[in-house]
Amino acid sequence: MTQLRQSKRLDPMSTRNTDWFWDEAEQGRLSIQKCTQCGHLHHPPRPVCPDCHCLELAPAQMSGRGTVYSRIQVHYPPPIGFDEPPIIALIDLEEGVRLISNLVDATLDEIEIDAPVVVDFELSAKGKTLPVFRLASKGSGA
Amino acid sequence: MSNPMTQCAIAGIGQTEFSTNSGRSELRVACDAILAALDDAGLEARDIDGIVTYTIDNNDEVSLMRALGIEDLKYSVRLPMGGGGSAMTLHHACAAVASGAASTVVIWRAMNERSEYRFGQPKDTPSGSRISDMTYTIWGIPYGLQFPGACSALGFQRYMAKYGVTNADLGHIVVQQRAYAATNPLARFYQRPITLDDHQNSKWIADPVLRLFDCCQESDGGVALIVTSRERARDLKGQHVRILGSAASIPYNVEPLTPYYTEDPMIMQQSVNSARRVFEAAGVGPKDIDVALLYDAFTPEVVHQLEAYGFCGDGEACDFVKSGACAIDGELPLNTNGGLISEAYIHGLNMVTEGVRQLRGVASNQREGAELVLFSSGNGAVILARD
Repeated sequence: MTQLRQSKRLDPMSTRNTDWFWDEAEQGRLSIQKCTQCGHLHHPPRPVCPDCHCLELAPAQMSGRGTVYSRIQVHYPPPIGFDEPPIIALIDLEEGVRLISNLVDATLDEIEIDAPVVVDFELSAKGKTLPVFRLASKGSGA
Repeated sequence: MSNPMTQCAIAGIGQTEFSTNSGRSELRVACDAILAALDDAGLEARDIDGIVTYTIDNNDEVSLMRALGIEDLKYSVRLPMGGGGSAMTLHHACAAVASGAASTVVIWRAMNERSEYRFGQPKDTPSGSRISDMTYTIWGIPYGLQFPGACSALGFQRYMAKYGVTNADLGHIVVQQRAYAATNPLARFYQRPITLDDHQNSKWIADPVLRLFDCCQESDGGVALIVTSRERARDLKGQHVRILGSAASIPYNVEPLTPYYTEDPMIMQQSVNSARRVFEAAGVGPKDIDVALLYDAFTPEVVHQLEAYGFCGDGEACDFVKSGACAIDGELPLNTNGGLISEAYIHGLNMVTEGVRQLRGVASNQREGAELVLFSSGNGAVILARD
């Protein structure tokens, strides 16, 4: 794996229901919780499948491809962990799950609604691996 | 037989001043508001046997009882969904009174959210266990989604793209509400109207959705309401208003601040559901409403609720406001106290005191002959009526 870009981002909060997501990212995988019984994907993750009440849910790797549902650039008050106002986006993964993330290496004007995006990974200030996205039209980046 | 849920009343209202620094404890602010409401109703603290509030209030029931001399609570609940729960308090107070679980219920909200802590500022860690499971604290903080205004903007941007709405279009809502606040001595923005240019010159919070003036006013202050039966209210000193209908809705996958996971986040599903229920309960429709009070932490919420309640079609809310429909002599006077954006952000409950004043005929911006007032807070709604 190539060297990941260092950022000043805060670490995600640690919880028993969500730590696995960031562990998967550390392995270079964007994974979403999948029910081992009915196969439905769930995000945000939960301890029980709401569709079949199965208790066995496991991370399933996603393709990393998706589209922009919406995006904003947050200026004020300045979010903690960024030198420049970050672009925050809702990303619709092609598997049908919606994620909060950042769009990196693009200006707000360059990012159209429904634009195709691909996952990338960056490090938090303390070295946690975080999935981020970039415009597919701009190639795979660094 | 009439529905007992429609036979309740607000018998008294109370509030403190709204400021940037109350200069006293939150518990004292709560007591001041409750004592004012009791005085308005002509009741004593010992008459209270039920108490209702909603999450994110630092005061606890035991301390309030101890301070006020409340003897014995038969009923107490604290509702979820943050400010979205503010209208739900009345629904649950009615349920308590209608069922006989309690006879006299006090509802309160009191906070020093300007002087002691800032609700709207970025958070680097979740501020206490009560919101630890909220999406933005777990999934948003590393990405810069760290405060409520950004959460509101993120979901709404797609609506703006779909309908061709700009931030300047949202500005018309703010200009209208600031005009109301300018003539409301209780408001933080009393005598301070703004123009659309002022709105457009205020700094970006979240480009291209929210500017500073699209956001509510973090404020210190307290509000209290007393709910009892209509029958009992008629015998009391205060001029009561009837709670003609009430409703609540917490739909699957709807969460406070970050409701991004529903089938269509461009529709506020909890308000669609509440609208259907409250109109059915009250036996009226949108055309019958004289004044609408819609929870407005940020302007996009006004847009969603105007559409959910059928005051205009989907995608039409900004044009509806721009047309002048929401002025005092318009089709639907809206947030006539200035709203949470311009009066104060007492987490929604100050909209109810405005509704009662409208029906008593004593509002600063009085709708002539107002008979029916809607208050919606997303997850709940009430229709108040002159009785």
